[in-house]
Amino acid sequence: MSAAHSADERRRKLLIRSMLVSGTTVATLMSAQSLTWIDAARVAATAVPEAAITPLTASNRTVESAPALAVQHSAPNLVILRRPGTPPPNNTQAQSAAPAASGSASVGAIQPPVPVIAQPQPIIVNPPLSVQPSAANVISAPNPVVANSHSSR
Amino acid sequence: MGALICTWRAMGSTIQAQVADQSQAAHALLAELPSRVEALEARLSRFRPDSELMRFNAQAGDWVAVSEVLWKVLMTARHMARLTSGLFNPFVMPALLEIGYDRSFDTGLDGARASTASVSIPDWRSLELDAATHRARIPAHSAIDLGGIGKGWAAQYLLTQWSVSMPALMDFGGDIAARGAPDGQAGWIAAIDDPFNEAPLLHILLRDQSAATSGIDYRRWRDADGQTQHHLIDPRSGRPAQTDILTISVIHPSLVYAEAYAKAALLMGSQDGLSWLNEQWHTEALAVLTDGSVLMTSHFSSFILV
Repeated sequence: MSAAHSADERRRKLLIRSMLVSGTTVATLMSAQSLTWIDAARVAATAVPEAAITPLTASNRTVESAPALAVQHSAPNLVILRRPGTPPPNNTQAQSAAPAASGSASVGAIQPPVPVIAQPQPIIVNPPLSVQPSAANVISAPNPVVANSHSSR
Repeated sequence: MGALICTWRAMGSTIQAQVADQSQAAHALLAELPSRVEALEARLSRFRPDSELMRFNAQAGDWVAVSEVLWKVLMTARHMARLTSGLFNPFVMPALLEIGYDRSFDTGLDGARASTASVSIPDWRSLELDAATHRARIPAHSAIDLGGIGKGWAAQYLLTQWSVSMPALMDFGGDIAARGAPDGQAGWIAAIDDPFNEAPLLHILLRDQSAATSGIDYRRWRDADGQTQHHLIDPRSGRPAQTDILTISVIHPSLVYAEAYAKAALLMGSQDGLSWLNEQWHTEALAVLTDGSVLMTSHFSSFILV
């Protein structure tokens, strides 16, 4: 083999090697690019829409106000215990009260009484400077007493 | 097993505490309750010029370091305002003063000053709280009133402070917190008032639940012009609420929630209010309307004692 031929052969091998390296590099780059594209696509697919992550500022903060409360149920799930004009049930046994769903059969002319405006006797309460434990009215009872839930009085 | 019962007047109401235990420890816990309530009232009452709350109000506009108790109540008030979208608003005091509610209801309010003016009530977010330093600030010329949740907060606070866990019921002016149940019983029995009748409307059974009733049936008075006023201020108008609900009772595991939700629903009116309550977790309600009708949320009946 002549020197020229050897030089050509070396150049050819160098070129092929270079092409292989370059090709590999390109392939690697292309693969990486593909992966990047794939990742970008995946991220894009799962990303929260930009509008939903708008920074909260004073200008775009939603101010909740009572009139804007959304009532989801078009037909509220309510139970009517007593209808207007129906007298309240005659509840004589305190511990056997039943839901008065049916109420009295009498309707029409019977109107519920107008609530009487309470006018309690003035009670001047002098806040004690200190309350002595012995002044506490602690009594013993055979059974718990029935509590009473009512508006403040 | 019987019960020990302690009854006295405080916070402008009748307070009754019951424990299903007759031990000396239980007696001691009950006996000290009035003084503990007095200590809370001394801090939180707007009717005491030297209370911590009123001293805080006097410094409106400034950052003020507050005690652990007042801090907790202010945090709670702000939280409940947020949950009710401001329908519960602790800034209603100037409006209450405007309609003549400037002293305890116990002292009588008939003939109080008359006013038809609407008072602008600050947004609830104006109550600023600095958690790092336990300081609070409210806008200048505003004032905080804790009447809407004060009794419920106090009842719950005292229950949690007890070192002995025993079935107990705290009734603070009709706002009830029930823990556990008396021996052999499914729960504590409470009556729901019927504002149209002497007899209760019905009875409910409470176990680790609370019940609060808001209403415009009782705390009413005639001002100097003979106009009827009541104490439930609508923060949207700055005036006593216009509503078709006469009383509303709310059941919730937390008495503070029950109180705030009852007020909010009353302000919304029966349809919107009960619908809103239907959507709140662990919440049931019964409303007596001004026309005499009675409505309740879908699962309130599970509490009714039959």
